[in-house]
Amino acid sequence: MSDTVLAAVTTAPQDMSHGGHPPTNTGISNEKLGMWVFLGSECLMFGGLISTYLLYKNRPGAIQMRDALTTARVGSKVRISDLFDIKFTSVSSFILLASSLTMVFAVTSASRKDLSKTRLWLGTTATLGALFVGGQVYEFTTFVKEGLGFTSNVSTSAFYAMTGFHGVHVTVGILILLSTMALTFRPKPPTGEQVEIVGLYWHFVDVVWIVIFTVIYLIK
Amino acid sequence: MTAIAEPTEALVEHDHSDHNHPTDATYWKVGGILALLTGLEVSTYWWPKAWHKGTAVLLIIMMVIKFATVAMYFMHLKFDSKVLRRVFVAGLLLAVGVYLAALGSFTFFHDSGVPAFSNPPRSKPAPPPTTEVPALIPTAHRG
Repeated sequence: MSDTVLAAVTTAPQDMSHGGHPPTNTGISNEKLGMWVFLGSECLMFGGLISTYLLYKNRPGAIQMRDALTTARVGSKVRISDLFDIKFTSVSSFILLASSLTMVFAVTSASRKDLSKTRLWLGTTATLGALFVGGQVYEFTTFVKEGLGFTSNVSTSAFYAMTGFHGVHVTVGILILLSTMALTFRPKPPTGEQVEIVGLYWHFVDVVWIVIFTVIYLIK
Repeated sequence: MTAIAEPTEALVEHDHSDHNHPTDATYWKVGGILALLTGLEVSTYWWPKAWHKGTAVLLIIMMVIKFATVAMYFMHLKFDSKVLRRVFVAGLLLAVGVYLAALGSFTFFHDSGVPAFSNPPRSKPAPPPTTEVPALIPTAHRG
């Protein structure tokens, strides 16, 4: 009995069947555990950005419009939330949510070693992510045209920092997705777990947007 | 002997959990539920103003459900090792706790515009200055 257990333990370190990595004490690969630790720490970063916006959102300050001829709102107390286009942002939210679903299918396709479908779903996810970022750029441009720039007041600074950081995360995610898609053309394509780790990052970006969309855009 | 037997048990659990991932049909259902919840969330923007208090609570509940659904199904937390769930939830709870405390200490709940949290003014506003402000532009030089 004891010999059997000992044999199992001594042979375990040579077992390379777990995505090309030796098994660990936790039974989870270091890469996957590392990604979850990273995502846990990201909660703190986004929590700080969201809290800062919540703290300053009702402190509009004086906002200078582009010129005196356009409107009479020079120096008026306009909040950035007064300019939110909920219909437009809702469409962006649906797009990002849909990208989470396509990412899941990319992971399952990679687990089944179906490379063509993996590429298809990764490409679809990256495209949906790019649409979301494009929408965010459009939204920012609209706000700046209205006179609400990054340095207009503390409220706008907090808003741009928060949504901008999220946008940067989505952009980095798109680059990772495209890189993963390119790697599928190599003789040794990414394993199901490697695609899953990319997916974890992407889904996290989605859940952060779920919070931002509700707390910042919808709750009045 | 018991101590060195633990790794193999962990490996067995890991192999078992890999086969419990949901099917494509389940993912479609979860996606549909998330889309419905998002649609309901968006619709609350046009609900009557009198419902705002209840709407805020409902929105937060729906947000938590959506967050948990994506984490449990799409991120596989429901099916993967409990270690991963603990790592993520620890970070999440730490963030929620720290920032609720921070918002509380920065009197967010007084300035939020929600009457339920608003305290009466702490002091009367300062009266405007009574003395005349000296003219900033100097008078013309009378040489």
